[in-house]
Amino acid sequence: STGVLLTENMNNNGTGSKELCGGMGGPQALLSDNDLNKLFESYKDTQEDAILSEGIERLCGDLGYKPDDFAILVLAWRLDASQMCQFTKAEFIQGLQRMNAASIEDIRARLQQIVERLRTDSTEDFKSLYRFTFRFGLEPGHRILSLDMAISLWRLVFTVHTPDILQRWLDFLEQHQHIRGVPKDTWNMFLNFVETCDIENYDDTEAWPSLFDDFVDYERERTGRIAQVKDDSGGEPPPDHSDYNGS
Amino acid sequence: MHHTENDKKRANFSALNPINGAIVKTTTTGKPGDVKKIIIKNMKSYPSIPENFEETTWNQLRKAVIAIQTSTPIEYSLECLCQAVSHMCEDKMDSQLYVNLTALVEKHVKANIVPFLSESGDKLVYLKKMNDYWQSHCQQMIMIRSIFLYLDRIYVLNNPTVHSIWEMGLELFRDHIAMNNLVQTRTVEGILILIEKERRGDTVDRSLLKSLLRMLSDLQIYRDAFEQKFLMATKHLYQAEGQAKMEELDVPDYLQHVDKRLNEEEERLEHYLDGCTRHQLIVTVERQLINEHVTGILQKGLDQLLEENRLNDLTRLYKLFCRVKNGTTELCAHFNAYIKKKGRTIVIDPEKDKSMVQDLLDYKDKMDNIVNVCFEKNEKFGNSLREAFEYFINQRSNKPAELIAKYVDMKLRAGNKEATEEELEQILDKIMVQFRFIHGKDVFEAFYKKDLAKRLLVGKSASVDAEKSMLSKLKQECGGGFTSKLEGMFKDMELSRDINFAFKQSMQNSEHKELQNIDLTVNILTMGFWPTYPVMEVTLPQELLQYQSIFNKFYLAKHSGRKLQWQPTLGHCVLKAQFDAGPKDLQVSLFQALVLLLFNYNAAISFEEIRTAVVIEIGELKRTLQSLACGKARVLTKIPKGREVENTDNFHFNNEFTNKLFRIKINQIQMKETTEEQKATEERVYQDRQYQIDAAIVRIMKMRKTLSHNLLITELYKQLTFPVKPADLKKRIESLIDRDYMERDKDNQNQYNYVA
Repeated sequence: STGVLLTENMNNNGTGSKELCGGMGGPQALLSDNDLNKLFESYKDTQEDAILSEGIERLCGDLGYKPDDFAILVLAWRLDASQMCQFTKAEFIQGLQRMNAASIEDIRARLQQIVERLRTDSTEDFKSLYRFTFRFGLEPGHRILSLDMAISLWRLVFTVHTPDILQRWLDFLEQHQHIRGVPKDTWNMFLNFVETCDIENYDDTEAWPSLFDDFVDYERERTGRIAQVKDDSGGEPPPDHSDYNGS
Repeated sequence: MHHTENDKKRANFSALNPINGAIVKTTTTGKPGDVKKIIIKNMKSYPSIPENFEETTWNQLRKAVIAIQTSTPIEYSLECLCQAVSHMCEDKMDSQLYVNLTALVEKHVKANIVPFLSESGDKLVYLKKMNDYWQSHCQQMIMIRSIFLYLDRIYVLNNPTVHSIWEMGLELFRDHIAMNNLVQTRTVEGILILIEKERRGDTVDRSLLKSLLRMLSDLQIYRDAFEQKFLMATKHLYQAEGQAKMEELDVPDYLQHVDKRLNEEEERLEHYLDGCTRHQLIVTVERQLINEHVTGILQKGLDQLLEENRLNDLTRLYKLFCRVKNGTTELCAHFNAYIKKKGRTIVIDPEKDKSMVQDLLDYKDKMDNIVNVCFEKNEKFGNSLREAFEYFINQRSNKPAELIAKYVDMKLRAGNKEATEEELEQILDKIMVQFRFIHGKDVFEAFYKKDLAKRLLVGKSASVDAEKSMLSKLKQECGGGFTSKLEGMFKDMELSRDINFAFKQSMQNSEHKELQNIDLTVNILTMGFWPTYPVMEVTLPQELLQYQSIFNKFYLAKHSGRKLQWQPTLGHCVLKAQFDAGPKDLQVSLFQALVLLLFNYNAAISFEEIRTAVVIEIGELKRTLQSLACGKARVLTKIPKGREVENTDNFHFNNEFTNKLFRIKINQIQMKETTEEQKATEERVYQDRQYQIDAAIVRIMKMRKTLSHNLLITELYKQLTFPVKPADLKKRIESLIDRDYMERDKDNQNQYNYVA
C-alpha cells in the first residue's frame, strides 16, 4: 500500500511543481542527467546507493540551512522522500528534475520560492506538505506517529503561518505523555481543526477525533480556572495568560 | 277540614316544615289542587250586593289581618272570612283586594324594621331576634294566605305578573328588612362570626344558623349577601392557618389536621350551609391548606415518611394530594427523587457490597408496597419507581451486575437450606426484576457463567429445576442469544453423563483389569460455552495417564476430528487413605491428590522433590501444600512448622491423623478471587465489548457504505445492549479508520465510507 501512496503523491507533486515553477524552467528534458548524477554522487553514502544522514547534513550546510529547518522539510516534500534521513537516488534525481534544479544554487533558489509561496497563499500546497509530513515522520512499518515526533513535526510544519492554537495544543500533548501516538486521521484532521474550528464553538458530537475532545475539555477547564483566578483577583488577568483572552 | 287545609299550606312554608330543600322553591306553584269546595246552598233569589258591601267586607278582612299581625284573637271565623274573600273576588273586586292586602302587609313589615335598626347589643341576641321575626312573619303569611286562599287561587293564577301571597310576603320582607344595608350587614356578620366561632372549636347554635341561612336562600340573597363574604372569610382563615400550622406541626400532624378540617367543612355543609356552596368551599380549603403547601409538605416530610415506612400517613398524603391539581405529579416527582437518592447510597459504597443485593431486594419490596398500599397502585408511580431503580442501579457500573450474579449463585448452590423450592422461585423472580434494570447485562453473564460452571463441575448445584427455571427466566428476558452458551453448558453435562456411562461399560469389557479399581469420570466441556481456564501442565501418575489415553481413544473413536484438552485445574478426586486410626476417604482436588500420591512411595519428601515430581506451578503448589499441612485437616506434617510454605520445607505423611468423619473434604486454598479473578472477568467483559462495538460498526458501515458520524452513533446505540459513552465509540471508530476498515470522506469530514 505504500507503493500506491507514493504514486498518488507523485501525481500530486507533478501538478504542484508545474504550478510552482510555472514559466521559470523549460521542460524537464533540458536538465542534464549527468549534472544530476554528479550532484547525487557528491553526497551519496559510501556503502549504499542513497544520500544518508551524513550526506544530508552536508547538503544542508551547502544550501545554507540546518537539517531541522522548515526549508529542508520542504525539500524532502518536493523530493517525495519516503523516510527521514534518506534520499534514494530515484527520489533525488526525479525530484530535482521536477523542481527543475540541477545545482545547489538552483535548489536554494527554488526552495526560497516555494517557502515564500507557502508563506503567502497556497492552501492546497500546504495541505499536501502537511499530509506528506505525517508519512515522512513514520518509522518504517509503523502506522502511528510517536508523540514526541508528532510534536516536533507539528512545530516544524507550521513554521509558516503558525495557528494561534498550536502552542496550547503542543502544551496539552506534552502534559499527556500517556497518549499512545498520533494516527493519520488525527494528524490530518488537526489541519481541519485549526482551519475551521476553535475551543469556543467546538462540538464533541461531531466527528472530531477523540484526542481533540480531550484537548478541548482540558483547555476549557484550564481557562475556566484562569477565569476564576481572574475573578478572585479583581478582574485583572494574569499577564502570562493574556494571550488566551482573545480566543 | 280546617286542619287539612292548614297542613297543606304549611307544606309551602319550608322553614317550619323542613321535609326537604326543594319545597323552598315551590312557593309560587304551591297551589293545592284538591281544594275543599265550599258548598253553598241554593238561594231562593239572586242576592243583591249591599251598598257598602266592599267597604264593610274589607273592614272585616282588614281587622282579621291586623289581628294576625298583632297576635290578637280574630273575631270572625275562618269560614266566614274565606267566604268574604270569595265574594269580593266574584264581584270583581279581586285586584283592589290584592292591592289593599299588599298595602296592609307592607305597612306592617315596614313598621317592624325599627327594632333592628337600633344600636345592636349582643350579636347572638340580634340574630335570634331576626330569626324570631322571620319565623313569625312566615307564620303570619301562612295564616293570611289561608284566609285569602280564594284570591291566591283565582286572581293570582289568572294574572301571571302578580305574585302569590306567599311570594308577596317574601318580597316585602326582602325589600324592607333584608335589603336594608344595616340589617343585612349586621345579620350576615353575625352569621359569619358564629361560623368562625365554630371553626375555632366552640359549640354554636347550628339550628339558628340553619334557619337564618335558609332565610337568605328563601329571600334569594344567599349568594350575593352571604356566600361571597363567607368564602372570603374561609380563604383568609385557612390561608393564615395553613402557614401557621406548616411551621408549627410535623408533616403527618399537618396532614391529619387538613383531613380534620375538610371533614368539618363537609359537616358544616350537611348541617347548615346551602349545598350550592359545596364546590367552592371545598376548593377554597384545599387550595389554602394543600395547594399552597405542596412543595413545602413534600420537601419537609416525604423523605421521612418513606424512610420510616409510615403507610397510614403516606396514604393520607396521597389522598389529599389527589384532590388538588398537579398534586400527584409533584408527589410522584419527589417520590422518584427520593428513590434515586436513597438507592444510590445502597449501590455506591463499596463497604456495603456484601449486603447490596439483599438491600436492593428489600428496598424494592418496601417501595412496591408503598405504591400498592398507599398510592392505590397508581400506574404513574409504578413506572416512576422502575425508572428510578434503573437510574440509580446503573450509577455504579458493573458491580451491581456482578453481585446479582453472585447472589443467584449463593441461592442456587447446594447447602442453601434457607428457602423451599417455592420461596427460591420467588426470590429468583425478584432477582430478575433487579436484573432487568441493569444496563451491562454482559457483566452479569460473565460472572453468572463462571459460577454456574463451578456449580456444575463440582456438583454443587442445589436443584436442577431451579437452575433450569433461572435459565428460562434469563432466556425470556434477554433472548436465546444471551443464554445459548449457558444452555450449552447444561447440554455438555448431560452428554458427559451418557459418555461416562458408555465409557464405564467399555472399561468393564476391556483388558485393562488393573485400572478397574480406579473410577474415572470425565466432563467434556465445549470450548466457548465455558469460561476460559488457564492451561497448566502437570505430571500425572502412570495410571491416570493410561486412563486418559484410553479415554482419548474411546472418545475420538466416536467423535473424530475433535480435540481433547485436559484441564487439571478443574479435576477432583477421592483418595482412600490408611492412617493409624483407621481408613479414611479424602476428598481433594487433583493437585492435592498428585501431591498425596507421592507419599505412597516415600514417607518424607522435600519441597523441591515434590516440585520436580508433580511440576505444578510454584504458587499453586505452595497453596496446595498449605491446604494439606497447615489447614484444618493436616494429613501431612510440615517441618519446620509454620503457616507459610517455604522452598526449604520438608513434608512427611501424618500417620497419627484423626478425624470424626470417614469422608473428609480438604478445601483447596483459593487465590483471592475477589481481586485477580474478578478483575480478569471484568477485563474479559470489557474486551468483549470492544469487539462487539467494532463488529457493530463494521456491520453497519458494510450495509450503509457511507454514513455521517451522527447517524452512525445513533445506529450504534440502537444495536448495542450495554452502556457505552460516545467517546468510547469515537475511539473504536478511530481505531477502525486506522486499520483501514473505513475511511473519512475526503470532502466531508463528518462522513465515513466503508472500505471493502
